[in-house]
Amino acid sequence: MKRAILTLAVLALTAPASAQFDYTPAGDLERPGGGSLRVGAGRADTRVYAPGMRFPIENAPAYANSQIYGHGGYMGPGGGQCNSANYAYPWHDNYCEERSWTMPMCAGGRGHQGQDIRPATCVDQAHWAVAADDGMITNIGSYSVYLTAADGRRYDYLHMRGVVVSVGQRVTRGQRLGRVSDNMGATPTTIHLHYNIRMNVSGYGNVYAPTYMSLVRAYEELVGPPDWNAAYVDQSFPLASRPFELSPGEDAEGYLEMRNTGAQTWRPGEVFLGTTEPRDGDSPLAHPGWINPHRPATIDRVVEPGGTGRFTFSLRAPSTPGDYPQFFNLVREGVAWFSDSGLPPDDQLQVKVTVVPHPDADGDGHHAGVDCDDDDPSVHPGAPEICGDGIDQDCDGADAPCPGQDAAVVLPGTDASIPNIPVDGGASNPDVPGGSLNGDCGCRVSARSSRPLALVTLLLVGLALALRRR
Amino acid sequence: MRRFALFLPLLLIACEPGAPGASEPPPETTEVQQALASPDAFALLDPASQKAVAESPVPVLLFPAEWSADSTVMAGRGFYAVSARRGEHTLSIHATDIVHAPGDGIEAPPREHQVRGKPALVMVNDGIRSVTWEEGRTGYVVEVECYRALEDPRCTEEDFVLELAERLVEVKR
Repeated sequence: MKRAILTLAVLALTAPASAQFDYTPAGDLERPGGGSLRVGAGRADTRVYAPGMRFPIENAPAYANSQIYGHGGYMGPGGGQCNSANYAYPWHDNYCEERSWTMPMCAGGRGHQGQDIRPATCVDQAHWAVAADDGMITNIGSYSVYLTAADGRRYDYLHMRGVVVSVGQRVTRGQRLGRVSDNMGATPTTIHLHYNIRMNVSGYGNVYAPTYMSLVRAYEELVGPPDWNAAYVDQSFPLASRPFELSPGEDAEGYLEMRNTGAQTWRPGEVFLGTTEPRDGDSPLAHPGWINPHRPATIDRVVEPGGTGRFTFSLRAPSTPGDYPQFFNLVREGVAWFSDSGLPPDDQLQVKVTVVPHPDADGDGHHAGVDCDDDDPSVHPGAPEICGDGIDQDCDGADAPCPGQDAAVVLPGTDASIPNIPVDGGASNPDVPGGSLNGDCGCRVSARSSRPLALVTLLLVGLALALRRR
Repeated sequence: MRRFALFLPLLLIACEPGAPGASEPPPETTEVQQALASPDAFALLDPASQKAVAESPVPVLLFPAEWSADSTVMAGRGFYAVSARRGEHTLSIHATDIVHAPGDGIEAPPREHQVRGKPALVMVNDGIRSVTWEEGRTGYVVEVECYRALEDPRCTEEDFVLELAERLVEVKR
């Protein structure tokens, strides 16, 4: 049992380096207790104050988060500083975290001023802090090391032990400076690197600048892009936040465009769009054109890292009205879902269809999906059919012939080349191509059905003439 | 030999109470220190530091002379810096005239202090006390780091860093 506990503890202390790096936005402070504690007002500043900076700890993983409001902190949710939750992504900004220290760039005028970073494990002096830039070591105190770059930016490393550089020494980017520890002079702190960027900021003076986004960019460079990583570019489907209404059975075609932000090339037949939440669930929006009910499409072209490609596919609205949200993600078939090691997460790319019933404009109780004339209440499935009027009242696909009228009778020599012959002086009807109005019944009669009548008339005239001669 | 004679008083200062292991904080400014607080601050620097003063891209302010023997002055294209460590205390100066734009416009609150006639801001960062002010485009910072960061009045109070900054010696070049 003891061994099992030890094993668990070691696992908790060493998060896998392959876990997907993730961070909360700049200014988004940790708020244990659901925000009931006063933690300060974060500074949502996305500016990278030290572009090109090297991450100040030699190796990943590392975890930027609070020592005070995290586990083990005196304002935290309990547990110890070595709690595995402190050694996990996402990162949290703690530049403006509540302190009594004056900080003019924080909204409340006070803040932490730097960023706390835990190295990979909760072990004292096991991890190297390294030079964030080429420069000179300009100060070494009881627990601090200052590195100043040629442009005047200063990088401060606090809580250092085992310092291997000296004041005045020139260092190069990535060079080891000392080890991350709990050193704070006479009073130990937690094992972490307190990291500042001090620079001359217009309007504020020579102050501690926001560090968070500089660290995020530097860390992304350190860990490198995942093999499979994508960023959203565009889509032709309406955004999930906007109405996207379809009628039952209606189809809609569109595309989703993504940028390859990973290290691998995407190829058609290898990289697909797949359903997520849950993964590989059959989608109610699947269209017959999909590869299968959980693979709408493959990428439309070869996409090298940095390039963009599209997934073009159709959706088919289910027959039952309602909301149909569907999440998607990219998958390298047989290798990995993109969210396993990169972006986007499974719950980001979404199409949300609202299936609405067909309208019933004429109020005859039959919607437009089945009503063959939704403007005429006398026309709908099951309506009484009036023969020979040229109107399909019961929507069975054809007008019913009147008794004695056999539309199927086709006499020799009657074909499309024979011009229409008006019958009974009926005027040619421009609304009925090739047809005329019969003066007796007002029925719409086809051009083909008028020819037998003319023939019968001719026969009767011929018979009358023969009888007269006798 | 002459150099050693100059350093002797400074070595005595270095042995003042308050060095690592001692329980009492160091005394405030002594008569000896006052006597040395003069333009000698530059003359007492080592040659490399004197050369750095000459190379500084911005006007140089030095610690009072009693800190000169412990001071290292450095200069780069856009800055100069001074580091002086003695016993439990580490003093530093950082100055640069390269100004960077902020990400947005949170208005800086008014400054409550003055250094060398300029509005000054006192800050604390994990126990390190500092004061910053501007002269022209140059932003200066003077910092004090204490071994007993949470107990030593030189770091827990602002008086020491303000007095130290006020006593900086301007180097005429």
